[in-house]
Amino acid sequence: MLKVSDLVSGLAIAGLGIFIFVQSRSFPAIGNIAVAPSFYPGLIGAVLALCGLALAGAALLRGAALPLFVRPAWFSKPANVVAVLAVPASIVAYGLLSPRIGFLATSFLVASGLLLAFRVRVLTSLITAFLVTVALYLIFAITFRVPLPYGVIERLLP
Amino acid sequence: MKTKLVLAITVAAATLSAGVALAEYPERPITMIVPWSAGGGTDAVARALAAEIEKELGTPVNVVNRTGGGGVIGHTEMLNANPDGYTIGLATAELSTYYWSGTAPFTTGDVAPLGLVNLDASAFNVSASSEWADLRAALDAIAAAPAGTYKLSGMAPGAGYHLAFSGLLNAEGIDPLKVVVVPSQGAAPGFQELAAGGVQIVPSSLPEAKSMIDAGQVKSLAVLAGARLEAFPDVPTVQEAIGRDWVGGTWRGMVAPKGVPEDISAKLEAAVDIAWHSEGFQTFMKERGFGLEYLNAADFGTFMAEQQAQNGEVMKLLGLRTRD
Amino acid sequence: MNYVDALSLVFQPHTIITILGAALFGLFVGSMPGLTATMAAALLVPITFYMDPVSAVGAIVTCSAMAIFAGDIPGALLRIPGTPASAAYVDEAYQLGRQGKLAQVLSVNLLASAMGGIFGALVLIFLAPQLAAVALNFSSYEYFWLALIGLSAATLVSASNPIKGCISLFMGLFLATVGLDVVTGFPRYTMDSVNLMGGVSLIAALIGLFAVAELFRKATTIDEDLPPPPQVKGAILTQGIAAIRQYKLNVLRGSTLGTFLGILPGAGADIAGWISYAVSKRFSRTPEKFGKGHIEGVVDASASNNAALGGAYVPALVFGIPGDSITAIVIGVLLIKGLNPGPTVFTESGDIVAAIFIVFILANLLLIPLGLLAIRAAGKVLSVNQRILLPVILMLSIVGAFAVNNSVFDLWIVLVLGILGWLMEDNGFPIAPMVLGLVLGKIVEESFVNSMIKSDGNLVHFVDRPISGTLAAVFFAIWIVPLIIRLVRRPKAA
Repeated sequence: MLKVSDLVSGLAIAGLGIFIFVQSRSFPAIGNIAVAPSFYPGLIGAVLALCGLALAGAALLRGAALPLFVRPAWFSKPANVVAVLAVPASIVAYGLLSPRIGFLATSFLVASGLLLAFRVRVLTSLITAFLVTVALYLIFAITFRVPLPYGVIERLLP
Repeated sequence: MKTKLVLAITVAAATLSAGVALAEYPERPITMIVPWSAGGGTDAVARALAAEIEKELGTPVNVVNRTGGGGVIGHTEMLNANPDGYTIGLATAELSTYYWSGTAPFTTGDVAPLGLVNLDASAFNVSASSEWADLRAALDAIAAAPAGTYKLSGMAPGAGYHLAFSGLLNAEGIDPLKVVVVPSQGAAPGFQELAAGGVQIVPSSLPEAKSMIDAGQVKSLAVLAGARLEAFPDVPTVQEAIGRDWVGGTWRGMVAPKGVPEDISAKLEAAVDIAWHSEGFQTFMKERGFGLEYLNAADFGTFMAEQQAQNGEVMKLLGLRTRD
Repeated sequence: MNYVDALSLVFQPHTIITILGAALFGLFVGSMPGLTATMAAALLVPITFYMDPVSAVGAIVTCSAMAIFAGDIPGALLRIPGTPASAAYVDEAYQLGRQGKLAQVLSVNLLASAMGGIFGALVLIFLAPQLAAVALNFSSYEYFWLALIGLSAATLVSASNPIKGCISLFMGLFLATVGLDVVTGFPRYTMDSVNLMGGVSLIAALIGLFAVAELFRKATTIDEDLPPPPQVKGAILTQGIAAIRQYKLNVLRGSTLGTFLGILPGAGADIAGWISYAVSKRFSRTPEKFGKGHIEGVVDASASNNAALGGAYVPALVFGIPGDSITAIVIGVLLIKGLNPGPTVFTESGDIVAAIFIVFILANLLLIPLGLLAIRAAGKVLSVNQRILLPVILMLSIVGAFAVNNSVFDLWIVLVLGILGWLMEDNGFPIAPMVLGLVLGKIVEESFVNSMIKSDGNLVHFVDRPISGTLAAVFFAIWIVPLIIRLVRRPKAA
């Protein structure tokens, strides 16, 4: 993705550790229980905070703190940026669309888009997307009896 | 080309609307939500029942395990599902505790009951080497010993069996908090602790204890049921053991989200009724040792409301109740 | 138990056909990320209603053995473990594949799996009652030390930068705390989301951290001509046999460890793979080669996770206590078939139990020819253009992650952990310890809290039982012995 200096990642992790620790202090201790629910996550938060600080500190001592960020090579090539962004976009699109228009329509649309973003030719993309959708439907809905989201195309099936 | 496309869309739309208008429920597979994991007791009951309902309604009934959070996720899912009759769920006793523990905002009144399908009486199981010969001796020992001397396991605190056990102690005038809960995920790890000597009591159903009883590791002092169980003629009821009429345990029942159209819910209730009475389900439940108890939708609703109120009381005693 | 009668129970045409069908089903399930052996077994249950007991249990036994091996295939090919049990050595196997040793690593997976499976089955057959009694002595104290020993494996599997490995491990442990606290039921780090109350799904996390993170990496170079994918070349078995010969003691060690961990209820194949891999590295003569494409650890771990399957049946048959989620299902099936697990099952239903044992051996023998077919078929998958293959894998990952819990929410977990995994990997944070933390996190906390409750906070009870004391000693030895060795060696070096 992008390379960040150990100083940055160390401080981010220390921040996360502190957040985990501070949050844990607000957990109530109910009844006569020997170990409060806050104990274990508090410990994890503390260790993460210390490790994060150690990582940042070591980077400073080594003089390896700079540069803070390295611009990744793929960032300057539009084709690669499209392909990279297509991955999260597909997951989000599936999550948002499938409850509304059903599995078959969503899967076909998302797979086509993803294949196109991965620079596959249009016709090949559409055929592959169709085959993948049918295969996934047969595997999950028919064989494994997973109730995949029901929608516009499913309605037309017997 | 364009005309063809328009024609295709029109035909599709016509088929679609015709399908909606003409089709009779059920026209597609039904999803049955199980709030516990695959392989457990609730899952087994659900799958056996699903197979029978499927025969009755003539459409696949798919079991989906929505696990986690002590069952709260699956129950939430049942409540919030689209009330079109295509999502039903197998609710368990825990549903009547979430409101009190503050885990979830809903009560048993927030689901539409379809029918109670199972009731498992809790039993008072102890190690085979325990010095307690009967329930009386056990209760006396707990009453006499300082708090925390005895420990129990086999469930998370506040689960059905724990509440039934605590209610019994309370009725006997013993503070239920004197027995400390060592939490576990189900009865099996509880028995493991019992065998390893970490705890003294595991309140579970008798079928869950059967293998350990047969193995000579565990003995059961009493069952919290109205009558002795057919498969366990040697285990006395609480009434027989100490002269107090006390029943308790855990239950499972089919529910739907509120707002399912009347004709559909009537069909579902009838299907649950027939499925429960089917030979396949009856044989399955007997062979697995699950308690066979049936209540129709209305009676199940009343039953759940009673459970909700009763658990509120016991959880207050245990300090597990976070709201009124 | 009469093995002659039992043989006639197994070698019925319908039983053999059932077993073959279950085997193919298992291979398929295992090689698909997002489909687990447990899911497959649960799906088989309604079908088993119509089978005789030997076919019913045989189907589940065969299906799970195949699935655990098949989980190795996408690991070696694509760096995506098919089941959680393969997660420990997925990097190693993938590295080997990239070095052109795909046929070798897959055949080692296959042979070690079969041998481990047979070892586990033999232990089950000959020592079940004795070992089950030992396993019953494991209480929360013992599990606590065992879990800590398991976490120590993280330091061994990560290596290069210990601080980064530690951070990764604790991030995994943190993710495992998300959800309802087991003792009080208090929601921790759920940000008021009901979905997070159930915690972070392990399968969704694996798909995110391995599959999606890998797709991100591949997408960054989509404009380049992708390197020709590794191929399955030559006589597959001979390459594996050579490696197995060289590391035959590793097979034995992995199998022993795996069987033992399988016997312990709550441990199982997932954890067995990790611990065996770590042990392999710890006692290797060439630990520096681990993580860069070295077959040794793969031998141990492949044998171990399959051996664990047999082990899990020990407490299940003897005490009705399931060793893992699959045996929990098997116990249910046995009860439906009128077989009550318990010491008497060996006498009352001896023939059926003996037949089940025979199926165990048979399934592991069948694994070799069917596994070879699967490897050949998998090789074909790689010859598909990667630009097409990668999107197909992503679609499978998305639907698979959804299917485990039937939850759209799990897709967000996949996405977030996919980005996190990519970011971590590119910045030198190993992913493996994070997965280990996620797998073991709950056991660590529960066993600790339960032990504290039982002992009323007295720490002495953590070590005053013979087994817990021994395990504690092992744990401290893992941490202290290397320090002492370093201290002793230092003067010489100077």
